[in-house]
Amino acid sequence: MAKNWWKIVGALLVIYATAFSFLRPLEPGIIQTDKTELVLGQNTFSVTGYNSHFVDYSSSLKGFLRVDSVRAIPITVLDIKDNVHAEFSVNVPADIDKTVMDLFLSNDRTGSMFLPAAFRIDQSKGNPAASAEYTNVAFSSGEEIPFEFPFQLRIFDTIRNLNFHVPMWFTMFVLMGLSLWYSIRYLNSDKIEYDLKAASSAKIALIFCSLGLITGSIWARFAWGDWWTTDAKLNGAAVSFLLLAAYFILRKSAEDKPNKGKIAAVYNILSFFMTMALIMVLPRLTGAASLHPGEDGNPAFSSYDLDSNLRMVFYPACAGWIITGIWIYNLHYRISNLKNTQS
Amino acid sequence: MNRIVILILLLLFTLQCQAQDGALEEYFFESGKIKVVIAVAVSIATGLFAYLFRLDKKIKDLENNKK
Repeated sequence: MAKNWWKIVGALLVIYATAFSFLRPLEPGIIQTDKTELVLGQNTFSVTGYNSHFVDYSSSLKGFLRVDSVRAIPITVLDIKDNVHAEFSVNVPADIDKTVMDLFLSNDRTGSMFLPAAFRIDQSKGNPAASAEYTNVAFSSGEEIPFEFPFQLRIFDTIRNLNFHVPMWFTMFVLMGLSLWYSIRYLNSDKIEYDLKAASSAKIALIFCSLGLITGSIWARFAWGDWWTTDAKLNGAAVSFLLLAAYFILRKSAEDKPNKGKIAAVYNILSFFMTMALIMVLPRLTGAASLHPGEDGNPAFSSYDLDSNLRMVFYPACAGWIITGIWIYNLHYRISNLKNTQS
Repeated sequence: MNRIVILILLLLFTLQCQAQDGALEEYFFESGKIKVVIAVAVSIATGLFAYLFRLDKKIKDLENNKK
């Protein structure tokens, strides 16, 4: 039992991260409006919110359309259908000098919720004599909820996937690093033990790579609209998968050669650095070609992309999956070691 | 065994391709797309359990060799 403590830590971290990922709510936000175009004068529109508590906090519900950093057009509540559906009206003045405006809603529970570029104003339609008072842009704060996932447009609940999809890749990196380490040691010492260890960890890295590809593909379908996009990182990841797979084909095909371990080790060292270049370096050089966050020269985990709340689950999730990956690698190595001594 | 698994995967893939429009989107976009998260978590669990079965088989082979 004393030797197994790290496996228990890994299992607990994965359980904690999974439970947390599903249980905590998402920040309130606005999913969509029924129209995207407004005319001059009176307009009505309805809004679909998320966790927006329209009914629960109906007395404090208010909102505005933001024209620029100072001016705003007030909107009035017409009808609240339920917690996530409500109707509003707005009077667009004829002297408006902006064509695209953001929608802001707030109540005492949610604070400011906002839909960027919600409306386009068609200045050729409607009442050209309409006039209205502008108000000031005012942000309001709601109740403090201990932990909420950040609300992002189009991503919505799938932000939780961060704790499933990304740790797969981190685990793959760690296992590939382990594989690199044992390949180098094998070249130095010629001990068969290191060769087996390098092969085992590469095998488990391949499994986590496939899991990363599958989960990424599902996420991409519902956040970006396609199973596979021509994203630099996606194609890099696919090539890394092939590089890893080629390592095993090489091992298999050189089975009866006396120096097969050495050939495989040299190839493994090469493929490690190729993978790093393909996944970590190249997507950042191509700039806007990638849809992944933080791909224009900055690391993805800046404070902007990943707020401090998310880190509380994200880091344990990564640690837990890495430990689990090492555990599975350990099992695989013990099996192949036994096989080796038996034959 | 492996061939059957690959066959099933390919069949599932064609199913997905056929269902791509409309129905699939409606199902997964419901509310805040929480079903996408469930699909991702389930695919990880499925992958790991499938691998556990393979390890299990390897251990069984070793045990049979010993006898």
